[in-house]
Formats: sequence, C-alpha cells, structure tokens
Amino acid sequence: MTTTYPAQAQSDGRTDVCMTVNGSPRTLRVEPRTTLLDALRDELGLTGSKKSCDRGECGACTVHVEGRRMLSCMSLAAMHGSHRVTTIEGLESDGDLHPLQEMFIEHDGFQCGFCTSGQIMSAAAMIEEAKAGWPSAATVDVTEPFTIADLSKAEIRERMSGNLCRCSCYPNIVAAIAEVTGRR
Amino acid sequence: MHQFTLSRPADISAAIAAHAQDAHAAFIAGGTDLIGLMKDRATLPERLLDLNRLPDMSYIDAPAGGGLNIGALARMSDVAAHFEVRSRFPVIAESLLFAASGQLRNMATIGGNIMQRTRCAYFRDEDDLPCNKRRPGSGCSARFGLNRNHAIFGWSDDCVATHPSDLAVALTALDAHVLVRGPGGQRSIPFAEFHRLPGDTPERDIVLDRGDLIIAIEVPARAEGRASHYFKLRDRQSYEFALVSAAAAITADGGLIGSARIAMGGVAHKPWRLTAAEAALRGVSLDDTDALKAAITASFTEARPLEHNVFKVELAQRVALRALETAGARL
Amino acid sequence: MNAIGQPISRLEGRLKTTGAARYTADLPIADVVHGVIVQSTIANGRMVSIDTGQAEKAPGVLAVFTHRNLPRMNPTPKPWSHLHPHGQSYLPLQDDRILYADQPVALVVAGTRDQAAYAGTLIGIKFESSPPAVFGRQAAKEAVEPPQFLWPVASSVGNAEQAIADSPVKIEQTYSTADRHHNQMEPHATTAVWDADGALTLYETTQHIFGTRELVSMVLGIPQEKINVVCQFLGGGFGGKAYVWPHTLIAASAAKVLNRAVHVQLTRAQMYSMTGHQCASIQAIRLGADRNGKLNGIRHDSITPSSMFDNYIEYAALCPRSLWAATGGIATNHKIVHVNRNTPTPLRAPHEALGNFALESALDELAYAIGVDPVTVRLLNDTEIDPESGRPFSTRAMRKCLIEGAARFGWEKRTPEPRSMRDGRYLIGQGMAGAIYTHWRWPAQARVTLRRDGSALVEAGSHELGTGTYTVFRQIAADTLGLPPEKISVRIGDTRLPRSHASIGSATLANAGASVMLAAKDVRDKAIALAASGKLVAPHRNPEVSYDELFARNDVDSLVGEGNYDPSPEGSKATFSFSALFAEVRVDPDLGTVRLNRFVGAYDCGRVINPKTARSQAIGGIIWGVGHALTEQSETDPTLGRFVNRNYSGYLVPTCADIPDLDVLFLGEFDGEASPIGAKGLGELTSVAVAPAIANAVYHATGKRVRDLPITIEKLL
Repeated sequence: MTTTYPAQAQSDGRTDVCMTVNGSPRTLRVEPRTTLLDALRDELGLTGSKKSCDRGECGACTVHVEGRRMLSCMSLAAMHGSHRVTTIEGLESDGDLHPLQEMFIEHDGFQCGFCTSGQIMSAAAMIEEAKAGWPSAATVDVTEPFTIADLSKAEIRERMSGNLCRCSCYPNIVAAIAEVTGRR
Repeated sequence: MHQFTLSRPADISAAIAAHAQDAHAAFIAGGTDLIGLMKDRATLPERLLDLNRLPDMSYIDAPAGGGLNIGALARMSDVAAHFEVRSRFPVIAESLLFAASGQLRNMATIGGNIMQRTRCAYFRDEDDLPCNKRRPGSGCSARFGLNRNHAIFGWSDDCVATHPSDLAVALTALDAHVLVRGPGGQRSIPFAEFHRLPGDTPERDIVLDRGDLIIAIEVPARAEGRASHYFKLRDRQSYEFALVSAAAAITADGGLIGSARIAMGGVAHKPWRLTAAEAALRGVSLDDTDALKAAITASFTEARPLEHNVFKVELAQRVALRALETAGARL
Repeated sequence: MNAIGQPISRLEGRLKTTGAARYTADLPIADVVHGVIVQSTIANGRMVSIDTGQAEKAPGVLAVFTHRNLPRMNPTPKPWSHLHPHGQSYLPLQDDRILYADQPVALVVAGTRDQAAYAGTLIGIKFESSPPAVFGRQAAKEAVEPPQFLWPVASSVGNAEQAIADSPVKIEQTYSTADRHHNQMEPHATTAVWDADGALTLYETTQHIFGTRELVSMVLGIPQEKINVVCQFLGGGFGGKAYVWPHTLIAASAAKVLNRAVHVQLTRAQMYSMTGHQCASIQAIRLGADRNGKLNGIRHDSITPSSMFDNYIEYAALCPRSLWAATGGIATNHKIVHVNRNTPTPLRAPHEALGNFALESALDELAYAIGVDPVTVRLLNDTEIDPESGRPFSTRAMRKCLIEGAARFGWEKRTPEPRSMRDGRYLIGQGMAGAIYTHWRWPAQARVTLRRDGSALVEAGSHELGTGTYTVFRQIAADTLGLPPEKISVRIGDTRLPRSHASIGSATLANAGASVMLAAKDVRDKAIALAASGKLVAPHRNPEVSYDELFARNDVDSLVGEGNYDPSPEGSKATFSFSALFAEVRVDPDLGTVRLNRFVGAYDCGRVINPKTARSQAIGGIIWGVGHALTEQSETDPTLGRFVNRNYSGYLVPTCADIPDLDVLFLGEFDGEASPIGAKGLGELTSVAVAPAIANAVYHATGKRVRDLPITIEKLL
C-alpha cells in the first residue's frame, strides 16, 4: 500500500504541509516540486535563507532540520511534514543575538552578507556536531575519539568548507567561530 | 522543475511495488543528487517515492564477529561518525568525510550515495548538450571535448565519464555487498558488479532493474579493514569531487604486505580495482617505495588517457602509493 | 572623539547576521509574476524557427516573449565604451541572430518561477548553426587593433626596443591567464514595476543605480525622471553588477507590455553568459636590465578576446606604464580577437590583476637570472616619478611596503635557491610581488540632514556591496559633525537620493565618501551660522550646547547640507594605490598540489577610514588572488564554443579550508590629492599581484615556472 503524501492534494496541485518553523507550527501550501528553500522564502517570507547556486554547491540556503544543518535548496518541502525547521530568523532568542551572530559582527565575518545566514546556521550546527564527537576530514586520526577540545582552527575551516563566501571573509568567519568555541 | 507527484510508501514492499509497476517512478531519499539532476533536466521522473520514513532502514550494525551492516537510509554523517565504522574500517569513514559538505552528509543516504550519477559537465548541462548518458544516441561531447576530469580506464567511444562517489571506492576495495530487494525477492550483489562500464549503453550506471531497492550495504569482516585509508586528491582543499582518489587496505607481516586491496576513484565509469597491483604487492616491503611503485604500475598498463588527462596515468599511481603508505602507517 | 580610523563594526551588522537585510530577490512586491529566460543552445548562427505554442498553453503562463513580439529597443551609442553603463551593445530579443552560446532568446512569464521555468523547456527552436570562433593561441594570431576604450590602446615612453636590445640581461616570455567569472553569491535579479503614470521602478542587483537608470531610459525610450532604481543591499558585485545586462532590459520591457510587476532572477548557470566575465589573456613581456637588476626597458603586449559586437579591451599591459622605472623606455600595446561569446567586463581586479601576473612573474625571472633578491630588484626600480606621465606621485609608499612587508614576513630567512626549503614531504616556496592600482576621480553628491535630537541622516545614491559603504559614510559624517557614530544613520541605493557614481574601481570611499564629508561640512557650517546668529557656540565645538537647544532657540527642526564633490579628472600629481605582497606555499612534489601556508599584504591605500572593514577588503582580495592563481577558470568547449563548468562545483572558488590566517599591514598616509578624505582605492588593489606572488613562490618551491594561470596539478607534475 502506498499513501500519497500529503493525502489532501488540492485542485491546484498544491498540498498543505505542516511543520514547526522557528518554534511555531506553520502550514505551507506547496507543490510537490517546491523546494524547502522556496517554501520558506515564498510561502513564509523567511528570506534570510538565500538561493545562490540552487544545486547544493554553496551553502547559502543552510537551515536546521530536526537540529541538523541541511541545504534547503536540495530538499522538497513536502518531504518535511512534522519536521522542526530553524532558519536564521529563528536563531535569536528573546531579541538577544546568538553568540555566533555577535561574534560575526565583532570579527567582521561577512562583507556583502549574502552567504551570512548560511554561514551562521552552518556554524551553529557544526559546533553541535563537534560536541557530539563527530570527526572531519581534518581530523588527524579518525580511529581516535574526537572531543570539542579538538576543534582547532584547521577543523573549523574544513567543517565550514560547505559554505562558500565570494567576498572571501573566511579568516574572519573562522575567528568568529573560534571565539564562540573558546579556541582562539 | 517539471511537475511530478510525491508519495510516501508505507513499507519496503509497497515502495518496490510502486516502483516496479511505473516506468516513470523514482525513489527519493536524501535527494541531494536526484533534485540536482531534475533541476538540470537530466532525469524527469513523474512520480517520486519518498523513502525517508521507511522504518528500520537507517541502522548501523557492527556485529561482534567484525564487518558492518548499514541500512540504505543511514545518513553519510551518521556512518562517518560511528565509532565502530571508524575503528574497523577507517577507509569508509574517511571516504565519507572527504565527500561533499557537512550539510550534504546530513542529508545524503548510503544507498543514494552509491547511485550518484557522473559529474561530467556535459551530462549535467541544463541545455541538453550531446551526451549518450543523458540522451542515448546523441553523442559524447567529452570524448573530444574537455575531458580532464574523465576516465583513463574502461571508457568507450560512447562515454568517457567517471563515477563520483567516494564511498563506492572504499566499498569496492573492501568487496562489500549491496543487499537489494526487488519484485522477485532479495539478492546480494558483489560491489564490484554493482556499477557498470559504459560500453554502448552508458545511460545505465548500475545493474539495478526497475523495482529494485537497495536495502543495505554489507561489509564482511576483513583482516585489511583496520589498516586502511582513503586518499582523495582534488584541485582545492575541500568540498570538491575527486580528481583522483584511492582506497587502500592492507595486512602485513614483519613489514611485508600480506594482502592489499586498492580501488580508485576518478579514473573510470565505476570504482576501479587495481587487481594486478594487489597481486604484485604481496610480499613487498612497505618501506621499499620503488617496489611499491613497480607493483602499482602493474595495473596501469591498460590505462588509456584522453586528450586532457594524460597526466592522470602517472598521478593516479602516485595517489595509490600515497593511500597505500598511509594505510600502512595504521598497521 | 574620532570615528575615522577606528575599527568600528558595520552599521548593518545586525541586519546581515539575522537575515533581515533585504536583497533584491527578497523584497516583497505586490502581485509580482516571474520571468524565466530561455537561452540559445548554440554559439553561432541564427534561429530558423521558434515555436512558443506549447509554452503559452502551459499552466500558469501569462506570456512568452521572443524577438518576434518584444517591443523594439533603442540602440546604445557607438562607439561603445565600458565607462558606459551598458554591459554589451547587442540588445536582447531584437532579431534572430545568435552571436554567443546561451544568449537569451525568450522570456517566459508565469505565476511562479517553477511554472515559467518548466514552460521554457517547451519552447521549440530550430537553429542554423555555424562553427563558433573561440579564443586561444591560434585565434590570437588574428588579433586586431581595437579603437580606444578606456586608456590609450598603446603607449610608448622613451625607446623600449633599443633599451632592451642594448641591455646585458634580457627576459622574454609569454604568460597567459584564464577566463574567469565573478560568481557573486547573489545571482543577478531584477523586478520591474510600472505604475499607472508610466513610471518605472527597478529593484535591481546593481553597483550603479544611476547608470542603470540612464541606460534603461535610453534603450526603452522613457525619460530618466520616470525611472527609479533601488538597491539597498547587494550580494557581491566585483564589477559584474556595474553594468546593465540583457535580463534587466527584457524584464522591464515585458513588465510594461503585461502591465504587471515582473521579477527575473538568473540561475547560476545563466550568470556565465548573461552577465560579464574576465576574459583570458595572452601576454608577451620583454625586459631589458643591467646585471644588478636595474630595468632599462619594458615591452608588454597583450591579446584578449571580445565579443562579435563590442571592442572590449582588458588592459593587461597597463601596469608597466606606471609601476616601475625603466630608464630607457616603456612600450605597451593591446590587441583583441572577436569570438562568439558575450562581452567581457571588469572583474576584481580588472586590467591590473592580469597584467601584474605577467610583469611581476617576469621580474622574478629577472631576479633569478641575475641572482639578486626579488625585493632588492623592486627597491632598485622604485620611482617617485610616474614613468608614463612624468608627474610625481601624490603618495607612493611602495618602498615602505616592500621593506616592512618583507620584515613582517621574515623574508630574510628565505633561502633563494629553488627547492631549498622543505617541511616534511612538502616543498616550501616563498614568493613576492608588487602591485599598482588606478585611482579614479568621479563626481558625487550627498545630503546630510541634522536633526533636532542631535542625530543626522546621510543620504547618497551610492551602494553597499560588502565594502562597508554604510559604515564609512557614518564615520565620515560623525567626525565632520562631531557626533558619536551611532547618532548617524545612512540611506543609500536609491536614485531618488543625491546622484553618485558607480561603485567600481575602488572609488566609492575616495569620491562618494568625499561628497558625504562636504555635505556634512555644509550642514555643520549652517549650524555654526545658526549658532552665531543666536550668539551660541556651535555644538560640535562645545559639547555643553546641544543641537536640541540650538534648534529649539531658533525654532528649527532640522538643517540640510549638500555635498557636491566634483574633482578634476586629472590631479596635478599621479595618484595610484600600491602594495607589496609576500606568499608562502607548500607544494606536494609527488601530487602537484599547491596550498597557501601564510601571506603578508602590505598596502598603501592612503588614509584608512575603518581598519576593520579595510582589513576585510584586503583578506577578500588576497583570497580572490588565490583563486586566480590556483583554481579559477571558466573553460570553453572548443567545438561548442560555450562555457562548460557553469556552476560552483565546476568553477572552483577557494573554500574556507584553502585559506590560512592572513596578515595585513596598512602603510599609507593621508593623500589629499587623491581625495579630501585622504583615501585611495583598496578593494581592487588587494587582489592585484597575489597571483604572481604565489606563482613566484611555486617557482621557489619547485623550480618550475608556471606562466599559465591557474597553476593546476598537472602543470607541476
């Protein structure tokens, strides 16, 4: 048995998808072909996530789905029913900037700002990955346990390489993240 | 993108049945390759079958006797982070960590990873350029076009593309198995037989038929597993497909190689096993670089470079050597 | 209380880090419909037929425009020049000719972008195709003399030929660079909105709002007063958004026909053909010198491609005109080849970045030929007089950059012999180069409004493309008015504001910034006059007196100052920015990979207004140079005549993992000739001469001289 999902396809070919976006339950009316990025931008007006390459090659559309960093341009909105999605607009809490946002400003971790939402969302999840003990391509020996104490600048650089910055602010981005993680 | 429907099969049987009966259906899991292919109109499925919520397909089992069983829906990042994967087969963890980006590894599945299609720019171009893989019979633009990133082994005049998966190279070296279920039941495909050479049907990358669903990847216990390494060479430091890569896994006794397993990426339409080199490496000292090089050369007599990738013949041998030496350091 | 010179964080930092900054494609526009451009799949020929029937019937489609039904446009004036705001003179959708690959041939307008894109695939076009002309060493043999475009095409001071012939040491080499694309993170986008009175608002990704207005006015035949162009945040420009490209004209025209707001955003792949690029170059250099390294003569000849319809010149042979002294003579020349491609355009850093690779590589070859240190060779040829014009430089801290940059880098520890420095398996190479960049002088206007609450508003039709315009305007106004920076707000990016120039050529700070200073002075003078009339000491002189008090006593709500900066096109002295750059690379000798270990950039950009944003500009420019040196190239298929690697996985820009910490020194001083605020250009300068510094380091590491960029793996095996 195959359930067509979402079950209630409307006459315009669109379907309603319910997900939690930045802490609030939202219903998005989308076509099956609508990417999560387009849905967030066009249906919810959350334009902080950017469409730059639209092929999973730059990271500007990075959001968190169920707490993990993902590329919203390479996923269909209709695949995310009931999921918890966080965008850059949801990173502040009670009007206070996230420490990464503060440090990006302090270290000038952006220029034009177009990749910045993706950089910050990526960094926030990347730090959690490191805390969870995930190794990276920069890890000297993957057979050894990894701890957040091992998150060197070289590790940060590798783990942030999925986010291109054409203004090329990389050293400042790394400095901002390193300050947040206490690695100067 | 074109219009299509999206449905969510309730279980594996329903997924297989839905795929088997519909020539225009495609499975979608992570979507990180398929959605790009659809945007570039390299494939135009009318019905997508969303596998992401199929139960019990994301497991990573490390049985007591060695080896690994990995559900097809396990995400690249989870497999790469799994401590037993890293301990038993560092080559697998490394092949995953050197691939794509943190975001993509959180999305892409193991089953989807080995089904990735080539990164040949002509194949992917949204302008529908001549490409036999994209449009059979239209010709191969890369054969006499820009082919630096293309094959040096096993290509045909119809297609000179390479396979992009890093993980598949590691699994080839380890002689893993692909557990596949189809309308006719379940079968286990030796990894070396999973991907095809292009021949005159380059539109077919793999041996799966309609209705076939990858259930799991099974890696048998291998004595070579622990001393293994994946080496990936690329033009920039990160976030790029391989120019050339090598997976090497060895055993040794008193500094002499007992058995060696080497497969390479970026050199052929499928992960390329250096069978002749493996045989020649037996008994060679890991400290004898010249002897190692000579043994590796045994697999390159059949290399046939194209206009822009002549350098890859020598480079690939050096990459294999580097992978081998680094694997050896894990002994 | 000086704001200028302080590392102040960006005014718009919070907007950019919270996703609240609205770029062109983010703006909510009522009832907007979406246009998607369909492109030619051939590079040379014509369309025999075009069938739009199926596309017109596709779901959601409102209209399909082709050359058959898009209204005729007015041609732009010939001879065409690149100070003109038109990216290329060939107008879109006006005839059936195909002159380059992926040329726009149709626009589909539909309710959603997906609908329009899909309908576009239903358009059937029959082409008549001819083999395209492509650029390369063979084509370069057919190069022709182009008409003048920016600077003179050829230059000659003294007798370079004789000086070279008479020299005991000669270097004669050919260098080449690859086609490159800007690849801004933000794809080009436009939204055209016509109102009931026939006025057009263009929300546009542009570095040149006023130029866009002029060009659209000319081409569409509507008065400039009826057009407003808006761009408050730009997701990167790098020169590629300084000109009007076909999609903007098509969208504006289609929106008028449909009487609907039309939004068009280019795909990443479309950016490769529908906006500009930096063309490849083939450059011949000849140097004549004495055995100490003193240059007697320089000859530099460059050949670059242009489109079939424009005479674009990339002035690669510009640098030697003013960079080093060559006592016997300096001669340069440019030729072009017409090929089937869209017109090239300036890309950070145009002209100089290409030419400096050749010149500074050749100087390194000279240094090795005579066994003299490369820094010494440059110190020997440093000059206080511009060889081209004979005028003294307004400021030139090249010597300081060379000496202090070398000291910071630890150049004295370098062993000059190639392959003499190692780190484990890696060969270590250290190389350096010097750079020059043109200083532009353009008129600019600004307005500053001083309000009763002691705050001020700066308004200028300038642009924020990541360079920090909002922030430096705030600092300039704050210091001029004697107010704390947080009291200054800034509005830019709208043609309803005072007219400013294109934000290109690193010119914004020196020119638009000067207009802000003049406007602030004007309003300050008015406040002083007001204070004098009321027998008060003006607030900027006496913090005891508040603007509130001053304005209240005089019953004034606000005062407005105007700034009109109108520099002479030529100063009395020669003004350029300079730098000396030092790179260390590690090369894996077995595998041919080059990675940057460390880098020191020493810059003379006059006075630094904001060391934080200036440093960011510098590291950005260095990384652009790393891409230029090692990875970036837009590859053309020789048969199809098209760019093939039209995406971020094929066109390799550096990633975070490619870049170590970078060290930046600012060594310039206030240059009043350059600008009343003392600043010279920085952004472009910083990506000049990075490539030769790296190439020279690669030579030092490996003993291999790579004269063809980028330095990819196979060139070092």
